[in-house]
Amino acid sequence: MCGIFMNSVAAGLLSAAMYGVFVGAEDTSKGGVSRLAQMRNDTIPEAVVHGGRPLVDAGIFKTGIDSSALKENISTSVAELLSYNTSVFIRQSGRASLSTISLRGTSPSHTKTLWNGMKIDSPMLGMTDFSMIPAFLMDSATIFEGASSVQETSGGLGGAILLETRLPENEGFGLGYIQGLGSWLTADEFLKISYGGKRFSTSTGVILSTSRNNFRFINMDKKEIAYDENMQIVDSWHPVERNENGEYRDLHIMQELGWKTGRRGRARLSAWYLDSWRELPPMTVNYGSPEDYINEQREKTLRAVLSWTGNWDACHLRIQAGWAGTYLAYDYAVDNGTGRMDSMTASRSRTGSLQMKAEMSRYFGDRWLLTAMAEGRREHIRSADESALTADGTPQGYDAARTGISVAASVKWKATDSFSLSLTLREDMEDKVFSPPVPAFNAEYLVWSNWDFRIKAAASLNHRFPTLNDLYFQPGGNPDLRPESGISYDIGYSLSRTFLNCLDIFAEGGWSDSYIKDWIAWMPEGAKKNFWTPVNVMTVHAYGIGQSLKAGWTFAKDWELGLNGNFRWSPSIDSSRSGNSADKSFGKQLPYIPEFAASFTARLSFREWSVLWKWCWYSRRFTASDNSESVPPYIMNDLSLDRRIKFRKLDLAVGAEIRNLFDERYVSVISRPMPGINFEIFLSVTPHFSRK
Amino acid sequence: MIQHTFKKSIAAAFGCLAVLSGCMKWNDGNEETAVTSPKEGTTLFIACEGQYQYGNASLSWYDTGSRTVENDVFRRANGQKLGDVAQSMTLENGTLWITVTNSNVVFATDPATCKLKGQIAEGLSQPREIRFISEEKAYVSQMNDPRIAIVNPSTFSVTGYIDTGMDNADGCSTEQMILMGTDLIVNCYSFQKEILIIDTRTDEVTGRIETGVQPCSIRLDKDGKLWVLTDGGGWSGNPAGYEAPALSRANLEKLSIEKRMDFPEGSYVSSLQMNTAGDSLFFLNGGVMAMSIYDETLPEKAVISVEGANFYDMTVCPENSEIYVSDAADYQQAGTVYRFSSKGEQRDRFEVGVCPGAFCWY
Repeated sequence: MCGIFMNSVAAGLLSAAMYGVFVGAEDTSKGGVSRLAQMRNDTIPEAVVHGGRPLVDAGIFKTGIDSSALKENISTSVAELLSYNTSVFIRQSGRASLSTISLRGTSPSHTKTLWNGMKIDSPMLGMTDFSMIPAFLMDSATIFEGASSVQETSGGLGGAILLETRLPENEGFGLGYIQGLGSWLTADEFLKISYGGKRFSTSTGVILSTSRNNFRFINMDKKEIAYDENMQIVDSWHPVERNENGEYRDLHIMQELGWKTGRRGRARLSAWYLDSWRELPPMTVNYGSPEDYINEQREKTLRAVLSWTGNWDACHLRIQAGWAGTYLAYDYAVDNGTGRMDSMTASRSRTGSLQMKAEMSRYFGDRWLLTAMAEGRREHIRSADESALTADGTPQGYDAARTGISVAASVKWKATDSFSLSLTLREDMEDKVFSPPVPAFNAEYLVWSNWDFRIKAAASLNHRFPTLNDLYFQPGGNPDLRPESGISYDIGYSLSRTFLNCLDIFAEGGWSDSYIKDWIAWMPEGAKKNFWTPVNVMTVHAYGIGQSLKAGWTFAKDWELGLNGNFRWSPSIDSSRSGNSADKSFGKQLPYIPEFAASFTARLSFREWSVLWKWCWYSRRFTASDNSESVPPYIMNDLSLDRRIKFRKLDLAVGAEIRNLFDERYVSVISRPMPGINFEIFLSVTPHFSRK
Repeated sequence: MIQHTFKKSIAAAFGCLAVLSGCMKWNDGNEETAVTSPKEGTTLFIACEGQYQYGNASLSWYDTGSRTVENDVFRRANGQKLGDVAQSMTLENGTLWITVTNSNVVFATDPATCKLKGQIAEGLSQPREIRFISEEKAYVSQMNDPRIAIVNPSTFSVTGYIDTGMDNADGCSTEQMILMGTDLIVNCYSFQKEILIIDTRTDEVTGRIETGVQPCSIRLDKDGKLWVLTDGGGWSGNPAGYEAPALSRANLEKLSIEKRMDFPEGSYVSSLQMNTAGDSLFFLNGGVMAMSIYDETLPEKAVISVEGANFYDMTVCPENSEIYVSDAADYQQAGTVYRFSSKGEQRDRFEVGVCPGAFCWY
């Protein structure tokens, strides 16, 4: 009842706000484009780009995230960014909790994440927690889907996400500060100082996010009971609870340094430091008291990439060295009744990853492009539960390292003005184990140039080596695991067109089909039933259709409307028979992979005003492998309003965001509550310095 | 004109949005009035653990006469979830008590309706099993806590604790409890290798028996001997040690193990059961194994096995010695329960909730 009331109120406010905006448009339109994000970071306005495609993208299935979405506000993580701007599913274990991706019906470890060319997936877990990456710090995000990821990295059976940060493009000093204040004592702060010179440029960005995060929710999974004097139940109700033990504090420092080395070269150092402390909230079915336990994790991560790029007329060379080091601590302790906390788990993991990479590309005329890449990696992990000593008195855990080498070469050929082909061949080695050669084939044909209508096709083999946890974790690690292998095909189209110089449309879509063999899953197995162990257990057939549509419409003077819609149908089917007649998972959708997903954003700008509506929908996610249990589908709406105020010496911008606009009750992961309607306001200050 | 049409379109879009946002329907929180009632004497309750950290434990019951099964009856009867990892059930004085380990709660329900009668939550740490001493006193074994909780079932409250003296540095648990006269026999499982004897009059530990690594199951035979199944620790890094699983017989008077039979290393053994007469043992080791308490060696061949099955727990019917065995499949789907005659002939099979891990006869 309360939810209906809130829905009505929110819908009414929204309608009124929209009405006011439209009526105001007729009276006050003057000119100019307003977007808080633009002002905040001098980002490129959202635009639909079309026309000739670079040869390097021939036949590639990729989705770029608009820069305006990345810079929407400082509290948005890449997890939320992907939820609202693509059709991938992000599995969130709560607000500011572990958020992992399912791309094209695959598991989180099947999507590889790169930052400025360096892999940043945890070598321990093989996946990325996207809640730990603020979108605002990134300047570019691109998803390479399925077979198209092979040209960027290996192991991306679902695909790869490339994140990039950039040096300041303008000369002169830059300074920006943003303060966000939101529900549950949430505070987000951002400071950026930059300098761009002729030979040297630097940029330092800091984001600090803190929140009590103790949102209220009606716990429908529990009941509280009232007894009479005879201990007979006289009443029961679903309690209103808070998301206790959910506090967090995340600090990010991003440093960019760039300097020109001679006429054609440029050196660059990117460093990203993360210091995070997060409590882990209990499940909705936990009757224990939060005071009786500690459940939290701390992470300190430093990632750094030093690179040198040289550009000649037809040749591009990049050499880079990267380091990623993480200290991850997880503590679970319970009160033993005396007020003392007994440590049940004190997991301490130190991971280090050194990566060296060289890439070269060379055009031969305007029809041939050859690229070659060689990469070496050294990963080292020390992971131990210091609360549990083995019989010989040492902590349970493992200390393992491995060396990996990847080489790849590709040739792209523009056979005619309309037809391009690409062939990539990749070879990987991990600890002297060679993968089978990984070929990828891409083709693209321009069918109708007026609409820039192209058809594309891609196919590849791929594989993924087990993570170091898969191999060595104690207890359960399985050194006998085989690498997962996959084959995938894509066929699709893209088109773009401008109408009457005021309406830009871009659409793309396609069919994808992949088979993954030797899928690794953790479960009690054989004689190891009192702990979990990874096994090559499944064959999975993941396929589906994806469709996206973007439009930019300047429909009246000073008015702009940007639309971005995405849809995906992605069955991901367990195709392996276990030999157990009680196993009903054959032919069923994999758990936590929604069959349908969609997102939509609409940004309406009028002069210095901007309204953004974000919407996403996920169909039910099965929680059982036989599809006998599931969590309900959900629709989420966010709405934000920005206003920019220009002064001679500085720009101000104020913004407000309403999240979960209709106060929907929803979960992404079973028994993990998500917040209802909540708010955050932002104030941005950008002083003007003289710029060339 | 364009603007007018545009405004209409936007209004329509938001109208649709408002409708769509109301489409998210949950079917929880509602009590069902038409849950079929279990019949006393012919009902087998099955507690399904669910998946760890999913909070999807459930309660099923099976009528051995009509061969009908009802699933998820706790949620349907009470409009709330059972919780995370339903560990054990105890029927006492017309009340079915269910311990839900990872939810830190013990529920008391009416077995005839599955309706909640009360719950013990405050003061418990990962409860494993409840054993009744009197109408006003019961013990609750716990995990990750070296104490056994003393509860008053009539007030649903914790009244005290028994300190077992276990070191909780590596984790510990007390598990199954058997009442023998005024003594309570308890096995200490996680990272432990002890059986405790507790005087229920003083609530103090009066005796200890050292066993193999990780005693997971205990049963008392007709001669007053205690049979102990140890799983050997499972992996070489276990703080309590790592050895071959074993079936042992303990002498409760001498507080010692008087007979030990080792399984081959790498075996996984569980679910020790005793028939009503107290002279035959059953346990799981791949299939269902059976032996007399007087056998000198472990059985080599299973009396019940199903190709490809992943047996998880079992029970023996006290009335006719029929054997019920659960199959957890891949631990993340609805489990299956097989019903066999005492001679191992399959008589029925039915689906229950995820990871069926405990049985209770009603």
